[in-house]
Amino acid sequence: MAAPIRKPIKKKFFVRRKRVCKFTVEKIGYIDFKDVKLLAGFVPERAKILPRRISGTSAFYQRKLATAIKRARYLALLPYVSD
Amino acid sequence: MTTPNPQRQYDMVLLIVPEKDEAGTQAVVEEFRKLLVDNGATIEKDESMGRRRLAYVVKKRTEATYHNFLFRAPAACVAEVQRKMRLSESVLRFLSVRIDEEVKHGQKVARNTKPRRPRPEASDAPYSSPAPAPALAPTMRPADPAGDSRE
Repeated sequence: MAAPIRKPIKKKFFVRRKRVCKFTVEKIGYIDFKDVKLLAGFVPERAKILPRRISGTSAFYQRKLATAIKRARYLALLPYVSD
Repeated sequence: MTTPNPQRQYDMVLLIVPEKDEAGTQAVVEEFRKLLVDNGATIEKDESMGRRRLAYVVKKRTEATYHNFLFRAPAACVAEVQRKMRLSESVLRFLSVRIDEEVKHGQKVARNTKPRRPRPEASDAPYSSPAPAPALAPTMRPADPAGDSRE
């Protein structure tokens, strides 16, 4: 009967932002292997392809992205390894 | 079923050796442009991507001039141009990719993707009130007056 007492909100240590797939949101149908600016965002310092558990890219686009990065690597637009 | 000599769309990038000056590079590009057209290609995009630093050393070169062709051509044409490029001393590297189906499929997927339904907010208010109700309901059902009236 009593009005529900609002529980004090527990303080979280950090707020994780919802990861979203960039390509789904922006409706990019085809990932161009010549677009170094776009691809470089998915290739961190070690030159490894960013896993989708971190980037949030959907499975479909992750496959396309991996192909595009590999093509860009062949053309020396992106490195295979860094140092 | 299939047309005998279909025109496919290709995306081709070639790396021209850095020793060539502006005019020399232009000459090489012109040579392959002519070769493409002579073999029955219709060029849709013809663009220089400029001189870039290579991400790693290729044949002892650290930079190269990139050039991009987007064209429609039969497979035989591409094969011939690739053969010539492999022989050419002034082409450091090249890549030709057939992109028509990839683009088509990608556009179809992009068109059909619906925005995800937003998840309900993670506050305790909406969950605390409906939660006890379903828990009680099954135990109450035998003695439910609504059930009696139906018989």
